[in-house]
Amino acid sequence: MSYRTKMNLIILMLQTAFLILYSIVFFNDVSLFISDGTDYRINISIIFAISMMLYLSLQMIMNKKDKLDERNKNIEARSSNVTIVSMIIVTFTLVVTLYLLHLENGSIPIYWLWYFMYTFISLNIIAFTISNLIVPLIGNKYES
Amino acid sequence: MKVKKVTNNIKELRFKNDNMTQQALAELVGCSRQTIHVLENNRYSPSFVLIKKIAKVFNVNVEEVIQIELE
Repeated sequence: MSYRTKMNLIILMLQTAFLILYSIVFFNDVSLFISDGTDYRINISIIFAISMMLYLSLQMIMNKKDKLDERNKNIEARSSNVTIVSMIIVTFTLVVTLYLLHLENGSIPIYWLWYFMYTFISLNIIAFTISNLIVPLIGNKYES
Repeated sequence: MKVKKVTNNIKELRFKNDNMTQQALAELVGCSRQTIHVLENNRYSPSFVLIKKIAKVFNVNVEEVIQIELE
């Protein structure tokens, strides 16, 4: 297993753990039927800030130790394409689901938007990291 | 025009040059050991610049590093 693969696996596990963690905090602090409550926002903000600092630190360490060569840049470019498409689909699905669930109410509770704001960033990182792990396995072969 | 077959002699060239390791070659051409590994196994389509660098390291022509057969 290459160094970059190991680092991507660590990033994936950490980001998934953080995503689950602040989802638990969010759903425990705020009931789906209550709009009040500010503590969950501070808790999620702190957890999110820590997760982003960890992610950036790991990225810097990874790129310092294993410099990006043409193949790695190619992999990251293809991973970015996959991430964009998958996140468009996820965003569309989540927003439509939210819309349909609250169609009769006529409005969407604001705390959902707050939760999605953080979720989308973490999901982006997770999707990108998974692509970085899968794309090298597919390879970049010669056209045939 | 499609690529029919691709072969390369990078592994043989390394062995002929004092049993050069993949890591050593990677450092000389400015890429990772992993890139050299997938290149030798024909699992990566390199840029012309990278092939030219490898050819220069071994002091051979580009055609002696990689052979591409087109339809």
